[in-house]
Amino acid sequence: MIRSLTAALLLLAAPGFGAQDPEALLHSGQRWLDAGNARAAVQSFRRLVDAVPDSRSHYYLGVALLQDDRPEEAAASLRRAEALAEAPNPALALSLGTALLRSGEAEAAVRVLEAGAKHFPRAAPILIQLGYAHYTRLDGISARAVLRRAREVAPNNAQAPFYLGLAEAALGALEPASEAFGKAVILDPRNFEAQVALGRTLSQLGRPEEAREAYRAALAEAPGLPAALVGLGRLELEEGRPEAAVASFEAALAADPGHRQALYNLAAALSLLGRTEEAAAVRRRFAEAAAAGDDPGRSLSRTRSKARPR
Amino acid sequence: MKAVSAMAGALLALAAAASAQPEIRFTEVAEASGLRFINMYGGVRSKDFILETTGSGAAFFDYDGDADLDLFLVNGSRLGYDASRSLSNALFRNEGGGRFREVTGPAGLESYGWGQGAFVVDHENDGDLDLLVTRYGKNLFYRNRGDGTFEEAGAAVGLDDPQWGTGAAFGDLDRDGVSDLVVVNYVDFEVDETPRPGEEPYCLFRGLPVMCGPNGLTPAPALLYRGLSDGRFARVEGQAIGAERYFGLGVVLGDLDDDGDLDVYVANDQTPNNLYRNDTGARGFDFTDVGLSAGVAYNEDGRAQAGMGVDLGDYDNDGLLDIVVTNFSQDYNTIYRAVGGGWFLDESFAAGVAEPSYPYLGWGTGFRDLDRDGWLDLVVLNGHVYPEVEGGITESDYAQRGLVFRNRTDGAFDEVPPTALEVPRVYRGAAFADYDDDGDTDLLATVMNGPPALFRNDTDTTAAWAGFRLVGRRSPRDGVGARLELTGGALTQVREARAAGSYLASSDPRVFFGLGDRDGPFGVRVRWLSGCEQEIEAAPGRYLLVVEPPGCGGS
Repeated sequence: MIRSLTAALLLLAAPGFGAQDPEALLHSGQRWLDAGNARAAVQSFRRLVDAVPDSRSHYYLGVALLQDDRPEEAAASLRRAEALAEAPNPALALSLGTALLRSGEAEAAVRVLEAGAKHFPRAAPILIQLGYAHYTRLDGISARAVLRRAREVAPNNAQAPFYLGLAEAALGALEPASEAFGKAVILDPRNFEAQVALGRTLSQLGRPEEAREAYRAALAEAPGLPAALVGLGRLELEEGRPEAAVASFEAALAADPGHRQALYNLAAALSLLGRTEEAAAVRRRFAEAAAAGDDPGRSLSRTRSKARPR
Repeated sequence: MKAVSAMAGALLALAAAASAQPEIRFTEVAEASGLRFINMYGGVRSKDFILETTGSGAAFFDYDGDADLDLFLVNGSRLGYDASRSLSNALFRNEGGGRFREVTGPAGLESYGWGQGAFVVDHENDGDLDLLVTRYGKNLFYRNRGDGTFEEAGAAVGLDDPQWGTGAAFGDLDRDGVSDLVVVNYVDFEVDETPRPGEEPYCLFRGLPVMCGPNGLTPAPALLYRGLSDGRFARVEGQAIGAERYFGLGVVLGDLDDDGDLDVYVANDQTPNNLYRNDTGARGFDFTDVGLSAGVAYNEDGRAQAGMGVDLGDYDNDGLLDIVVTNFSQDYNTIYRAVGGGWFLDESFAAGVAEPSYPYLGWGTGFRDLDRDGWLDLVVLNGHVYPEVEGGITESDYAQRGLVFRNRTDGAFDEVPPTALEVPRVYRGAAFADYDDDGDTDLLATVMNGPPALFRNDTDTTAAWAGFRLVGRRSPRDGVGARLELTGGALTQVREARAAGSYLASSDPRVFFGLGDRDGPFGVRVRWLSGCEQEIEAAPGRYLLVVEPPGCGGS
């Protein structure tokens, strides 16, 4: 309540509010974005689009919509910006690619980002986003190639090795993955996601002590991080200490009660300890979480004809 | 000083043992053996429907009772093809000396259609092995007349279900001496009702329009049949098996909780795998799906994988059956290690099979002791589902090589050069058998739209071996489900007599033990499904016929 009131006051105080001065609307929207109020920024940029429906206005509106977690609308606005643009623009390509990716349109995102990377081959953010887009569509080979290029272009960018690590891991190349994650945490020791990914990869490589260290580093940055606690729990389970594993999985669930991996492994650990009723209860929670994510598909006709040889 | 010397000696001995490991070696001999057969299965360069992707399997079985293993190969079809343009299933008689001769017509086994798997049973306990062929369309059941010919009796015995049957397994689930049956079905599929490549989001693969499914299509329920003493099968409903729909592909029977009866494990594509615990008693069939509670429904992340092929085996020689399931590429093949109490852990990475499997899409698989050292090795056959990926857009092409893993004897495997299996093919089924009776396990691989590959095991080893051919009396005559425990010596090995498993395949039902450097007679304890327990003394180097003692087991 206080926040929205403050937002309203700020909006009223913004230069140009109530007027159609495009520059004022632009600055107003940018200030909202800087202040982290994407919704207010959207309002400003909508007025800007009404006033001056050019590529720049649609671009800003798209960025604000993206920040307001409305990727489909953002993609539509950024598409219009792209159509109206006189020349390729790396920021526009990156924003549109991101909006499409977040809308679940990975194929379209790849096309946009590939075009962007072609025009701006040294734009590391575009390459990284393109690599990530390939990764999300399970194309590890393309992801690896693009992210290696990103790493060459921007050797100090910590995102490139992180996503490269994900691509390598998806290809089952665990040693290169661990090297990439290791590089990512050197470049950005506060990247707890990279620490967790490093821990998981080291665990899969049969290096439990190093894995444990990585998970602990992640927890130092993000106390209670469920993924790190689950990783530690898995190590305990594999090393035959189900009691310790239970504690770790329960800690993960304290932070995220619906964490599927934690639920699944907690049930296993409880079963191993003979705590079958508790295990059954956890399994029910897991089944509910799994069912919420499972969609075997829509119904199709049960008849058949043509495919069978006559 | 003495301790140091002893340790050095032990290390040297270990090093010597390691260096003495023979190279696991296969030679491809299909054509030289007389196996002239071409599989036809859907489009070659593109596939419009999921029906065109599953491929066909094979069965090793002694159809003519001459004590060697013959081979039945299943064939498929192509969209819009009728029988005149399709290719038939085929039976090849083992002529001895590693040679086969086709006898399809005389045996009465000519058949066309979308054949899937082939599964063997001595249903009437008359000593003649019968054959079930699962299909898209009515399943076929060939009753062996005992004179080298068969009659199709699917409708007569109640097995002509019209769904898309894939994996199946015969076994005496209620321990009444007559084999029962589980058939898994894949997709409730109809061409006219299925979107075409690219028409829906689930009909794209890395931007390429490809056939749709299985996600987005309707899964199909499994079927449970009770074998009747009059030669028919009766559908059993109201059980956990068949209660829910899954994209079923692989099924295998084994005593996974070591309580003396056969449990049912099903590998499902894109849906959780099932472990149906068998608690059947006097009140009839009683199955409960304990896959989730046992830890074998999902991988370690609690994620359903894309199960295709499956096998059971005690790879760590701890007396408990472990499970291997093959999965899609950019995922890993899963080993569920039994840890006692009916629980399993996904130990695929620790076992060393996960990382090498990522580039490959796995199908047929089997735990087999390929080098006869007493430890089960592992074979996985691969091949993509989308011909459209040919040309480098994936980590491996449509045709893929096989994987061979040698058991390191410490709970893990090393991937070893697969010799002849390194040739990329679009593999599907894998049937294992010592078809040339030379004391090692060979492999028949079915290949989509191509000739099969027969991989003769030419591993150069002096390690001893022994095999057992089982004949039940109170238990089913084919012996399936009997558990053998090799006792004495440094290793205790547990093996079960099993034919169905892998992917769409039936393998040598004889129980094979690699004996390493063990020589001289040794003891084997046999536990029949009837409950009969039998101690026998055996000698290496041959297949021994073991008959269930009369009057043993049960009441």
